[in-house]
Amino acid sequence: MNSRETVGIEERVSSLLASSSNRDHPLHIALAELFDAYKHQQSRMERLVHISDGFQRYSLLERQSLIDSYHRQLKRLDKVARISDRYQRAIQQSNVELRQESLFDPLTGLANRRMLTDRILSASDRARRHREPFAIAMLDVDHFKRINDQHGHEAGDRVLVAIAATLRDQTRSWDLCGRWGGEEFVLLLPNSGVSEAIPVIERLLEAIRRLSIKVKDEVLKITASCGLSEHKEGDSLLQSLNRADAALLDAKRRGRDRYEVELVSD
Amino acid sequence: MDDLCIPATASSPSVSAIWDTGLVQLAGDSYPENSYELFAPLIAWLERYLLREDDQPLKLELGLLYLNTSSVKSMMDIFDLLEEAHRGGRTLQVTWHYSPRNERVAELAEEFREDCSFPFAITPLNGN
Repeated sequence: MNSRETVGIEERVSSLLASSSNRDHPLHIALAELFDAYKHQQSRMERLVHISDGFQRYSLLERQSLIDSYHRQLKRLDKVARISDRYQRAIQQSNVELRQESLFDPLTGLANRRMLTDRILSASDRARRHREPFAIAMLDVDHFKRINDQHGHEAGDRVLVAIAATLRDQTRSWDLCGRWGGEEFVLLLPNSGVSEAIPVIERLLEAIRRLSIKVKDEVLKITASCGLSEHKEGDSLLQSLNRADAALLDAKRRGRDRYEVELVSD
Repeated sequence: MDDLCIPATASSPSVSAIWDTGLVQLAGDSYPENSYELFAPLIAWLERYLLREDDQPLKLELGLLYLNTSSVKSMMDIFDLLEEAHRGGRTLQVTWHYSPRNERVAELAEEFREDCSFPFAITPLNGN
């Protein structure tokens, strides 16, 4: 039944109930009560639908606003992550720079004293555990003070840089070259006894002799002296270095531009 | 009367907010263990300040360097708050200062600025 037909029946019933000729009809009272009950139910139904629609509209709106806020939050999260990642990359990069600064000599780019110390310590460790020998060489530029005094610090720095490059070129890939301080360099020659280290040192001193460093109109020739020692089991870091240093002094005393070996005396 | 003054620590920036002048300053690194604890008082202060009836301008001066993720989020909350106030007609201005030696800070400040329609300057510090 559609709503037009419903309205038709309501009007008919309503006018039948209102007509005075039907007042005494035996069904009149019952029909009048039924019609009131019907109208009451009808209006309840309309209110119910109305309220129900309201809730549905509200829930639709709420859902939409949740979707909007979800998308907003996603965008935000994206941005937080993006910015945060950039900060993290910046920190990582500064870690690399700090590591570089803390382990390498800024002038020559060679390992600094800290890195040399660390690596010599771990070489001693390996020597103890695997009976793997290693040699330490201490190298000092001859008459460096004279170069600085006569040609200035800039020339001195250039000499150091040239020696550093020679050290890198003339040593084996597994050797570690570092600047111990001033004009003093240290070489760690892992897995090498004195006999394996000597050819490396000879080659190195020869390459330094061949260096020509141009300072203004002059060409500087330089030499270096070197002390070599083999690590002795049980030696402390200081003892190993001291023995190389003693050999270096010996080389200086014997006329420079040469190497001496501190032999292990048992 | 109602000023905020939190000194910097190794992991949190200095924070100061002056009620009478409307000047708010944050400077330093920010990676506190609890970002909420650090930023909540500032956010509450800003909310109170932005409700002031006399419409006094707000000036936010930043000298922030490193921010961890939760600090990034807190700063975005602050900028959202300012954006809303700006759209509501408040006068406010943000300046993010950076050292020319650290251009990265400027790039990150630009990321923050993207969604902001209020005046937001990113300026190098003079002298280094």
